[in-house]
Amino acid sequence: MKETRSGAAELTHDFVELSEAGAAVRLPAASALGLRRGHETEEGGEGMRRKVALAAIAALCTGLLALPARGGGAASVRAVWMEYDARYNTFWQQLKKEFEAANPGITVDNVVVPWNEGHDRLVTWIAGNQAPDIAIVGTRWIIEFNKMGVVQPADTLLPKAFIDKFIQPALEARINGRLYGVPVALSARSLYYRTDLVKTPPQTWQELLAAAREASKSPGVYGIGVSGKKFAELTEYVYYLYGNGGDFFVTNPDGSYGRCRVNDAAGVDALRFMVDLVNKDKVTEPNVGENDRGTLQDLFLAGKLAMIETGPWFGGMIQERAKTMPFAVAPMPHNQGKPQQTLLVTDSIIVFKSAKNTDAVVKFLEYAYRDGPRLEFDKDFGMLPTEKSVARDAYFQTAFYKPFIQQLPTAKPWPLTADWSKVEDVMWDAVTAALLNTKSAKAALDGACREIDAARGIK
Amino acid sequence: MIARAASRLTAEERLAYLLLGPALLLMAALIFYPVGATIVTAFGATDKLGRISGFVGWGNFRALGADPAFWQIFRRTFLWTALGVTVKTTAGLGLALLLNLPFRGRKVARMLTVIPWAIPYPISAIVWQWTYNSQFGLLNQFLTTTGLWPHPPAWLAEPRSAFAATMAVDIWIGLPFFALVFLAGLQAISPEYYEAAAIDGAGAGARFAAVTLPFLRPVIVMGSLLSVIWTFNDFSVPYIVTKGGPMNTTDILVTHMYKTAFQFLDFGPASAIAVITFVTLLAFSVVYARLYFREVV
Amino acid sequence: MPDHPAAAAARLPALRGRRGRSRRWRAAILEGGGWTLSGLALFVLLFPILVMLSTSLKTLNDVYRVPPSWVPAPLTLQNFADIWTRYPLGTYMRNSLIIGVGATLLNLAAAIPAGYAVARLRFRGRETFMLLLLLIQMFSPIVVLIPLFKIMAALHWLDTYWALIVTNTVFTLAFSIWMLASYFRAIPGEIEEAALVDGCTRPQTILRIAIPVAAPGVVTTIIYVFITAWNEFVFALTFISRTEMRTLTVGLYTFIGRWAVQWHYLMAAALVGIVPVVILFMFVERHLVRGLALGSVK
Repeated sequence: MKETRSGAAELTHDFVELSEAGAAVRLPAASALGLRRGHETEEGGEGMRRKVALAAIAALCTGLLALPARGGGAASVRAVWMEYDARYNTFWQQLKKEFEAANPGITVDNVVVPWNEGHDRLVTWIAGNQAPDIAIVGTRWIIEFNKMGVVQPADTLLPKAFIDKFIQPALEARINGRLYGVPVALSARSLYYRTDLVKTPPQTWQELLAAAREASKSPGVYGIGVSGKKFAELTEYVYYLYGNGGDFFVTNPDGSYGRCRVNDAAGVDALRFMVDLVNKDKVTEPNVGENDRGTLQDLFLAGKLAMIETGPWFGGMIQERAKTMPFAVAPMPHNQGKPQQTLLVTDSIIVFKSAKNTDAVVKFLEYAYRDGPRLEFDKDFGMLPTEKSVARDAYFQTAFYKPFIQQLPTAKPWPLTADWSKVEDVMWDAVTAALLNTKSAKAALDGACREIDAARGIK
Repeated sequence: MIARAASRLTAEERLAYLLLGPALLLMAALIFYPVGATIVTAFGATDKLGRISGFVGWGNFRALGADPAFWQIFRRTFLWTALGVTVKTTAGLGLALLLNLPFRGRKVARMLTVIPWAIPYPISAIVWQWTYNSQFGLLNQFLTTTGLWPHPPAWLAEPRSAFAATMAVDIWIGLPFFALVFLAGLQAISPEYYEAAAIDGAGAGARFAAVTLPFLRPVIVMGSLLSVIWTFNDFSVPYIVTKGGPMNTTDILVTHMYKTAFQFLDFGPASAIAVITFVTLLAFSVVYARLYFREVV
Repeated sequence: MPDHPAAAAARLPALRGRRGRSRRWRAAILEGGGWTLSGLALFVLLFPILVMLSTSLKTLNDVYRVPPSWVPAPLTLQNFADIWTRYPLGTYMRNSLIIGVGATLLNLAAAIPAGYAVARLRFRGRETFMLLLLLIQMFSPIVVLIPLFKIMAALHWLDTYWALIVTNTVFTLAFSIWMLASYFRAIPGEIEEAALVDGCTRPQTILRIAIPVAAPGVVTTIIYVFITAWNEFVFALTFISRTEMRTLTVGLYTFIGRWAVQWHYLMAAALVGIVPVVILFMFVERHLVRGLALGSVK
């Protein structure tokens, strides 16, 4: 047979080295496929086929056997941390190193997941019986995971002295007297404003509108940011809802959530006010539907917004990206005649029932919750202090942190219900419909309540 | 003689099964069980962990059928698929023909064509999302400064433009694949056929119709069928570019299924959606195959 | 199955084509048109790439400038350095490379024999097999995610290369078998008959004749499998949790934070991620060329 173009043979001739955990599996692609350069002779058909089969099986087996079992040494703690921002953060790595040095015999296995994927990844791992030992979770996920039956309440493991360290507002994960998770991150939302464009911080909605109108007069600046793109949180509507004395559900005497009440006067007026800011008063950025909170923050940093409502981490972002921008922080405005109330959000660390080494877990948590690491965490990720002792630190006594901390006692968190995902989804559609003017605020919220009550099985 | 024929068939079959072995093994191990598990789950009531607590027969399907939003999503998925596949195959064919012409720099042009495909889907989606933004994105800036479109819409802010914009991303990502597959197909056409046609006096158009199309037909048929299946199930693009918004107007079956499973933890209904997707695509394939598959299978 | 050239030509309408000078004109217009249209198509295709390029040369503040500008001010190459030093980009790329190459090889090892069998051999269940391939494609990877995850956990393949190599192989098998089968089928039977008569065994005919002649198909398969494995996201995100084992795609995704996106790094890293694919493509592109006509085999 004449030699044909062996282009394909050239491609696969090279040996490929696959190494996993030290074991090198040589997959001699060329010989497995029987490809040789040019003139070498081939073996007989039968032998060739057997070689291919054997090579494949050998490779598979070697791969299988070469892997170390998961888990680790004597005691290990497997922790899932969420990435708050995209900066390559070494906080957890540092903590791991220091803890392991102080506690030989315990290894910490850090798994870092992008926040936006965190919930879905945890669901997958839990459903696949690969739950970690501890994980940072959005506190409202706790209800959900509890329904899955995988959460071990924190107060069964941690001593009372540990839990007493926390400030009251941070203990959102306390449900019916049981503390399910340990607070790790705390934020309250406030109004950031440009001091050169807004002379006095607005306290009421009426003052807010006036300030926005005034600031919009400056060229290239929009008064205030409103987001219309579906996002992980129902902001900014919740700020107006809470600021108008409204809430999502009626609270039953036993503390459980009753029917949906966003379509009452408080809720409708809140939505109407926000929608009017966009469509009637036109003091917001255009095309709200394409912006989520992240983009709003970027707009503020680019100097296009005079006011924005967001959390404490934003201060750090301003320092980093717009050092010279003159700004200040004020408590979240409220409707005239209604009490001031902002949103409070916590993230918690939960311990999974499947955790084998609870002693190691407790040791690690106690190490991680000393004042030093906690202060560093709050600084690194732009969070508010969760412990009384840390709250006393000079770092938090500045003019920047004052408005955040002063709102904590009256701030209200998201409703802690397992259906929250669905509720939020429905609410977002209602808010967007109102913003895009396809429905009136009342109609949108009426529809939302109908859907929410139906989904939750409330008559 | 009959005995010889019989034994030859068996030997050929033996060889065939041996050659199919590795592929079958891989598929059996990794697909049959998960798919089977999904089908079973579709008929069950699940707890929040996805474990089946009981069987509800057609209950999950009935619940989906009763939900008008579901039918909207279903219809939209058809629209999404039909438009996407049509543009991808026709534009892909056009691009392949272009890249087949002999011109200098053709090699570079081909290489450049592959690039959109070489970027991971989620990253493309995010980059496009950014580019579409009316404040920060360079698309509208480009359109306005060149005068091509003095007042472009805020693409992702409104339902209709959001749908078109998301579709554009899906097409953008899928086009290189088709161009490449068709290009490979064009290479397989021996120049003898074109020569014979040219000798007979056929112009470029007639040569295309009589030589290129018939030869490419199997590739076009199979390629578009695969494209229908992939586009129907395209998850990253709609999910990341718009997360299904605004007001779920870019939600298609697979993103809806993902939300149902991972956000609402309703694994039973989610599996039901998966089965519906599968049955739909199967039905389509059967019809398609009956019409076009004579020479391919 | 397209038939003999003479028969095909015989079906053409007997047109009087123009010859000579007009033919040269038409060729020139065709080439110029080809250039223009290709250029336009490429510009549309590459628009986001230009955006990425522009963004990767900017500082983060410049990225967020309103209105945006194509020209970075200041222009900086720092991002391309930072992504290697501040993030384990090298690790990510190495992992993706291993998985990409592994999946490609495993896929070819399974698909070439299978494609040959489908194309050339008659056996019971042939149609069923082809249908099965197609059916598998109809399930989105999302659907099988959790059961597959359980399988990987049971095999202790989580956080290993094998999980992704095998998964990516399986999900691209349908396409590669089809592609290779259609090329193998196009080889006239007489050539293989001649080779068999000459004393070659069946495997030898596969390797020496079928594969080289089907080179465009093999090349397309290689590109397809590699790119699919290189870009794969959902499985990589789910099966791998250790940072050292992360693939490039997952690594890129970590530039997207809860509150802020590190666009300048993301774009730079994404551009760097294209390079191996382009290199692969340049390496195999010559096999896409119509040089391997049937004639050369004779």
